[in-house]
Amino acid sequence: MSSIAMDAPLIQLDGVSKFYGKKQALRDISLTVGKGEIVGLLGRNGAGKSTMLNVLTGYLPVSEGRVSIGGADMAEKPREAKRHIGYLPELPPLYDSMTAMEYLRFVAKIKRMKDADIEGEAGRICGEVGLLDVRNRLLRNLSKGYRQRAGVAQAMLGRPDILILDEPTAGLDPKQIVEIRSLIHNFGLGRTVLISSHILSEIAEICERILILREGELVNDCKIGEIGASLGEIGKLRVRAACEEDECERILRNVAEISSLRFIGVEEAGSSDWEIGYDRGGADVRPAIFDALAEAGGKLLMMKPVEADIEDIFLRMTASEERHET
Amino acid sequence: MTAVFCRECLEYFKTMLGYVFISAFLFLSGVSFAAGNILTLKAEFNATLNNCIYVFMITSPLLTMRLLSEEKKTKRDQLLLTSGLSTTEIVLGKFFSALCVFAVTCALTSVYPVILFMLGSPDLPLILNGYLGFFLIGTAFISVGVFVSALTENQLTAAVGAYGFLLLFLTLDLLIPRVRVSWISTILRWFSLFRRFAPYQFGSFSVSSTVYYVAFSAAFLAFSILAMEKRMS
Repeated sequence: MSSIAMDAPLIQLDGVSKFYGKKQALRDISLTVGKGEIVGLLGRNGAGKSTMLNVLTGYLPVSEGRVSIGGADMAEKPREAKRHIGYLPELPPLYDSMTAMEYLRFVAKIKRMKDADIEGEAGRICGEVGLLDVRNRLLRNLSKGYRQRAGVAQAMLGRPDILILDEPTAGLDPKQIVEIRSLIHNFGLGRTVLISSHILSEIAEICERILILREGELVNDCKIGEIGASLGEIGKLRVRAACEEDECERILRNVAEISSLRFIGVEEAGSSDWEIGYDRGGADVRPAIFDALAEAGGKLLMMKPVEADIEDIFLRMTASEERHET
Repeated sequence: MTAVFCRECLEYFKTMLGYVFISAFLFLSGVSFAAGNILTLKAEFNATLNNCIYVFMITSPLLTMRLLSEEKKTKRDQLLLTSGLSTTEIVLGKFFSALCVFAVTCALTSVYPVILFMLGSPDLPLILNGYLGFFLIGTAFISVGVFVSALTENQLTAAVGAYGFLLLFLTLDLLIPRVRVSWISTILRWFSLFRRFAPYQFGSFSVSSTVYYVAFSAAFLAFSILAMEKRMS
C-alpha cells in the first residue's frame, strides 16, 4: 500500500499513557512492531487492551507520549498514519441497512480508495473472506459468522500494512473460528497483524510474539518460543487431601513454596482436590505439602504432576502480585 | 464527506425515518395550507410558511436524532474515525444529508403554491423569498439537532433535547414583548430565531438575517464537532 523502509518499525509507541479522568488506563507504554510481525495482545478484562488498540488506531488521543504508524505521527499526521491501518473493533461496525457489497463500497470510499479500484477490490475481498454468496444480502439478515467476516473484510479492504483485530473470533462457533483464523493467517503473510484476544490458545496458534498488559502496564513482551521456555519454569501438581475445602485451603496457604492454588472440586467424600503451582527453579514443594498436611492432621490421598499450559503463564504474568490463585 | 453524505441520505429512505418525517411534515403543513389558504380563499402563502416553521420545529428532531448518537451507541464511529475521516467531515456529511431531506421536503411543498397559481395570481418573488427564509431557519433547526445528537448516545434523548433547545428559543421569543428593560429586549430581539423570519415573510430579503442564520448554523456545527471530539478524549 505504501513504501516503508523494511527496517523501520511500522508501529512505534513512546511513553504512551492514557487517562480517563483520574483513572490511568495505560501506563508509560513503549514498544515497536516491525513489518510482517504477528503480535498477540493479552490481558485480563480492564487491563487496557481495547484502550491500547483505540490509541493505536487513532480513535482515542493519547494523554502522554507519542504513537507513530508507518513513520507518521498519529497526533500530527492522523490521516497519513491511519492510511496504514485496517481495524476490526470488538463489535463489528456494520450498517444493517446495507448489503455486504454496499458496505464494502462505502468503507472503500471513506478509506479514500480510487473510484476505479473500489468495485474490483470490494469483489476481491468478498471472495477472500467468503462473502460472495451473501454479498447482495442485507447485513442485518446475516448470521454472526458472516457479520464477523464482513467486519474482517472492511479491515482488510485496501490491503493495509497493519491489521488490528480486537477479539476477532469472539462469539463464533468452532468452524467459524477456524475459518477466521485461516483468513487472518493468509492475510498476515508479509503484513503486520496485532490481535487482542482472551483465548490464549488462539494467540499461541496465530502469533509469533505476545504482549501482556496488566492494569495498563506492559508487563511482558516476548516471543512464543520464550513462552515455551517459561512453561518449563512452572510446575503444577494435582493434590487430593482428606480434609474439607476450607481447612485444606488454610493448610496449603501456609506453604511458602506454593505460587498458585486453585480448588478443583470434590472427587471423593470428605476430601478436596487442588491444583497447585510452584516455581521449578525453587525448592521441591512436594515434601512441604506432605509435611504441612501431616502436621495439621490431614491425609494426603493423591499427588501427581500436571502439565502447565499457556493459561498458567498468562495467570502468572497478569497476576504476579497475587501469590495465591483461588 | 461525500461518502458519509450519500450513505446518510440513502439511510433515510432505506429505513422508515425519511418517509415518516416527510409524511408528518406534509400532513401538518397541508392542514395549515388548507386552513390558511384554501378554506379562507387567501393567496398569501407566506403566512402558511410561517406556520410551517412550527411544524418543522416539531418534526426536525426526527431527522437529526440518530445522526451522531447512533454511531456512538453502535460503536460505528470507530470505523469512521479510524478510516481517516475527520470529525468535521463526519459532522458536515451528516448535517448536509439532513439538509438534503429537508430540501426535498420543501420542494414537495411547492405543490401548495402551484395550487394557488391555478386558482389565482399570487406574488412569485414574495413566495420564493419566503421559501429562502424558511430554508434558512430550517438549517438552523437542523444544526441544533445535530449538536444535541453529538451530546448523547440515546436517540430519544437526542430528540427530546432538540425539542428542548428549540422550545427554549421559542420561549425567549415569546418573552420579548414582556421584557421591560430595553437593552435586554434589544438583545433578545437580535438573537431571536423566529423574528428574523419576518423580513422574508413580508417580501424583503434581509442580509443581516441571512448572515445570522448561516452564522447560527455554523456555530452549532462547530459545537457539534467540539462535543464529538471532547467525548472521544
